[in-house]
Amino acid sequence: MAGLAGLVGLVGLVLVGPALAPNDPSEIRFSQRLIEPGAVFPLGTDHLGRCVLSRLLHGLQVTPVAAVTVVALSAGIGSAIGLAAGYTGGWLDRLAMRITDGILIFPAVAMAMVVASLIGIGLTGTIVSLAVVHWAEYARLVRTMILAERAKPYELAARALGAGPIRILVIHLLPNILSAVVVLATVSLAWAILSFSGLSFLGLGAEPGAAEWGRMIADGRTHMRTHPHLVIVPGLAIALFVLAVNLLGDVSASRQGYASPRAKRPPSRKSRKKE
Amino acid sequence: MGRLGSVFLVCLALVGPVGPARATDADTLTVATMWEALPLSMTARRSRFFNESEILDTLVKLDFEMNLIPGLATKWEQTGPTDWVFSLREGVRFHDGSRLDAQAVKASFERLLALLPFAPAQLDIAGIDVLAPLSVRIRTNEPFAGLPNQLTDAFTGVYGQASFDATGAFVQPVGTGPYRFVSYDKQDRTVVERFDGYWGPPPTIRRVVFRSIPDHNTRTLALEAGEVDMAVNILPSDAVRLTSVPGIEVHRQPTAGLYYAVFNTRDDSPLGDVRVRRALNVIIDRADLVQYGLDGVGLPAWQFFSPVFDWVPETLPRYAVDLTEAARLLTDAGYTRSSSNWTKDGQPLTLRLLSYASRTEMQPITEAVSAMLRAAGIQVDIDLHTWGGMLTRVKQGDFDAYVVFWTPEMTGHPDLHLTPHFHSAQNLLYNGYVNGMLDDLLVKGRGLPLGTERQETYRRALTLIHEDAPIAPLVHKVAVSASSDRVEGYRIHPSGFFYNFKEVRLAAVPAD
Repeated sequence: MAGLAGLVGLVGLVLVGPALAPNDPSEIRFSQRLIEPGAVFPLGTDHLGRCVLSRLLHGLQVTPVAAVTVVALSAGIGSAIGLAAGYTGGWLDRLAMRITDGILIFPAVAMAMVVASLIGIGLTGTIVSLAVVHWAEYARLVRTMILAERAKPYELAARALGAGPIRILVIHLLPNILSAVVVLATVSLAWAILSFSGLSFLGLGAEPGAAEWGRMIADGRTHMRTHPHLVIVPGLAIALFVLAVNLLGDVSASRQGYASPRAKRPPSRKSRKKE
Repeated sequence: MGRLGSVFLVCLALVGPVGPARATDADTLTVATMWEALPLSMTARRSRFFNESEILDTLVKLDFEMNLIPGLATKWEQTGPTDWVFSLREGVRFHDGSRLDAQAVKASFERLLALLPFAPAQLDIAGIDVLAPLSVRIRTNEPFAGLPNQLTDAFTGVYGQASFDATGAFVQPVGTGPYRFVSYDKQDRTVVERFDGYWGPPPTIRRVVFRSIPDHNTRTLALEAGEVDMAVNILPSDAVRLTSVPGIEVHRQPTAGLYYAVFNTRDDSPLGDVRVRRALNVIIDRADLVQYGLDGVGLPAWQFFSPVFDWVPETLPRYAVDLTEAARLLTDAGYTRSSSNWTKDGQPLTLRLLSYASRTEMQPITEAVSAMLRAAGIQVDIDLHTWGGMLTRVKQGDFDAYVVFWTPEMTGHPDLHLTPHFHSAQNLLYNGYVNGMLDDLLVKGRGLPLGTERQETYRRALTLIHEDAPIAPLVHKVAVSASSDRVEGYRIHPSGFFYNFKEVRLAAVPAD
């Protein structure tokens, strides 16, 4: 129940956050730059006179939404590849898993930086580049679980009753592994938020001027010593949001029967031996 | 900053350096730089480190008023339209003990012309002749009156034979300067030491350590923590703050550097129309730009060359903010103002503005410029890249405008910047700008000695650039460095690429 309440709370925050903004987040007011927190600008203004609180609230719909998109894309693509590889086996499996290995050995953010610089800087480019490196974890997980499930009698029963491979995969196998995918998704949501903000901080994520938290930290650095709240406030926002998402991941993991959110590798040893 | 500020400072104190990290060595100066020194490459930053550190000497040098003064050459004269004779200083030795003579100078120039891809075009040298043991003649392909100025550029430093291996490849810098190269630790530090056989007055500082600290905040913190004696390229906001920090001295100096916007003059850009380019030039308020984009550290640039250099003709036309004039120019160009935007054929006037993020000032400047344009009814899409990424797009013509920084006048001669950037045959601006009359003036100016004719030629050339508006000059850079108060006698050189540490002294630090 706590998990559900938390989820509703977070989604609610993302949905209504921008509506609570007291000012236009991107309006530049040169004459009111670097104002200390006060009545009109509750968290002050940045070096271009933009309202920090409004940017923070509008940022709720940038990073978290982008992170959800990254996770949805990765989970979708990764699961599809994992399903196909795990169920078909043979050369397709070997090929898919070698590619997965190849992607997994690279530090994800470093690789996303390379992809982002090839595709171009911007929201879409960064979402795609993070998804490009992140699908592999899902493919690995789903493929391993499919190997385990495939060996169970109900799969044989379904096959004996004349079910085709698509039907077996979607109706019989997928529901049995979905909980693990959901757990991985909640856990990796926090990763996606951090990576996205990190790339934005490095200048590869959200467009300049966008009300994105990582970008706000990067922009605030030029006045960090005189106006530290420009860096601290978005930093805290990222930290708190990631903490909330992680707790949510913990709750969903324990509800699904996984001890810790690090349950990216469910009992895979045994199933691999059978290969 | 209040409570948040104190929390932050406590955090800083917790992560700050522990123990005696103070740079108190009596005869060692530690300098924190933004760009890494890279002493093992000739091409890095066009050899500037060799000039900054004075490992190498150039034949001609610039004083602090940007006048030519003798370097390794004690005098020089033009003996023909393309011939220059340089008399070399007597008794100069390289760091390896070998003598500097005409043969060594000739060999050095031949090496650098072979090894530096941009050198042949910059120097235009046809040949070098040894006339006497201490006399060389340099012949240029075309008449080039700016040659002595060009020979102040860092990349023309004179290398000793020992700088190169048997195959002629560069190994390490061996020069004639007051400091000799000692060691280099990648991405950490470069150490130079006083050369006792230096031809000039010996420096008082024995050892200079150049620490590479690319992050602005870290560099300034290192200075405040006493870890380094000096930090160069200080953030504008810190330049203001540090003036009230005890024990720290802030140095400011207007330099030749210019921030400017380059306009795409091709027909497929809205800026292909000169009236739109001029309109932009009178919309952007440079004084506000300095104030709000750079915290007041900079000089508004209403023309291309900074007027602090006295050779810039005073009668040059200059831009001024004039929104009525901008509206007239845009109306002439076929735009109408509907609601808040200028539109033409139903399309809003939209500009794609590129810049790069690796230089910290570029983003605030670009954002401030675009805010001014938006306020005047022109839509702007900002697109920030790495330097390389931006350059790729610029070379493809994929831009309406881009904001860059360049040091146009570091040799004190107008040609160095004007010809490569505005002559249509070179067009390093990649903006498709062609003006035959300007080309002729630039070629003519290149051949003219200092005097009224040269002054008039460059006045006409700069006036043409002003009228055609292929660029919008934005801000003349004011360089900022900060040092601990034990550093005495330091001045920032207006070329921006010279520290002159040989004249700096370190005051004794009381033991504590």
